[in-house]
Amino acid sequence: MDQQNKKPGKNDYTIVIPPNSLKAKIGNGGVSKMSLEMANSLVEKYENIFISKANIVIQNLQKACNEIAENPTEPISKALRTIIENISHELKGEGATFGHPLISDIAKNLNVYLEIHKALPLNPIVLKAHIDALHVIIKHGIKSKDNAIANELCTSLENIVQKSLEQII
Amino acid sequence: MNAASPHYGNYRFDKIFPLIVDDSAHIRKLLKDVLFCFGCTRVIEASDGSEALATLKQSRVDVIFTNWVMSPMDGIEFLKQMRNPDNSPDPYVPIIMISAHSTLDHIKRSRDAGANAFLTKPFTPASLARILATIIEAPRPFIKTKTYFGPDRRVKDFPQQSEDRRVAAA
Repeated sequence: MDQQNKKPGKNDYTIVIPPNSLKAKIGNGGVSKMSLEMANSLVEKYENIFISKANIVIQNLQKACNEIAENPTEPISKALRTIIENISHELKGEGATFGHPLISDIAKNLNVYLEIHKALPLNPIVLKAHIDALHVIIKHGIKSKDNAIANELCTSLENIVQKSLEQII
Repeated sequence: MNAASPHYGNYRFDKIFPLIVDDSAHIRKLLKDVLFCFGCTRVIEASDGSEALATLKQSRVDVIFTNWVMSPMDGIEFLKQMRNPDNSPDPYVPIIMISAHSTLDHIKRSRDAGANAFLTKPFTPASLARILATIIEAPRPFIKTKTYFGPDRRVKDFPQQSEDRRVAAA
């Protein structure tokens, strides 16, 4: 391992040139075209699997929302809150990765709401608005915000969350 | 070879041992399968930074792909621990941060924590290949100061891949 250029004084620094062991093992060239084509078709399959999975996850979110709506006077259990938070986090992270950034955007907005209401009751109407939006975009195959309906949906969800924040303040 | 072009030849992915750190099993599987398509035969996985650190005490890896948002230990904390030369299991291992947060601030924070490169979600196999080619063909020296240890941050073009998102407007 090479160490060079130790500069004395106030801004001491050392430059270290570690051996390029990755290069030594992997050799020369690059990723072959055939490998990339294989990987591309695999990613497309994953997108379809993601949508099937997202539908199930959204159903679970709906169940959690119904449970809250049916027991409006009872405080939400920690377990139920965790279920909702996990679904929201999952959709936010995976949506964009599997080619559906709009799902991530809506889940992100829901995350903001959940974060604001961490120690407060959750309003099933707000949850339902997000669930309905997710259903609409999946049904119509809308993937990103570059669409009038998507834009309108996102703006209205952002307004709902903003309104809930104003009510707290 | 042009580091920006992955369409050249035959890297021996079967010779390397990557680690994927992500809390989503679905994303880990996708990334693992893409790496298998490239030719990898062994990939290890961890669901957060602390599990990855525990794994690295037992196994040596050649490259790490880490997500940012995870718990209990997120990707930034994991990077900081890895770039602590006193305690890290391998302070020089190349680490690629993968995140859906692609603002300049996120890229800077990732770079300042010691990432070699930044890959924006959703990534494509081609963008992954390009990032890998960059860290393989043009590795940056490491800099050690009182407050920083990691790849040289004085680069105009921090390796990042964000322009070729897969999804167009529906």
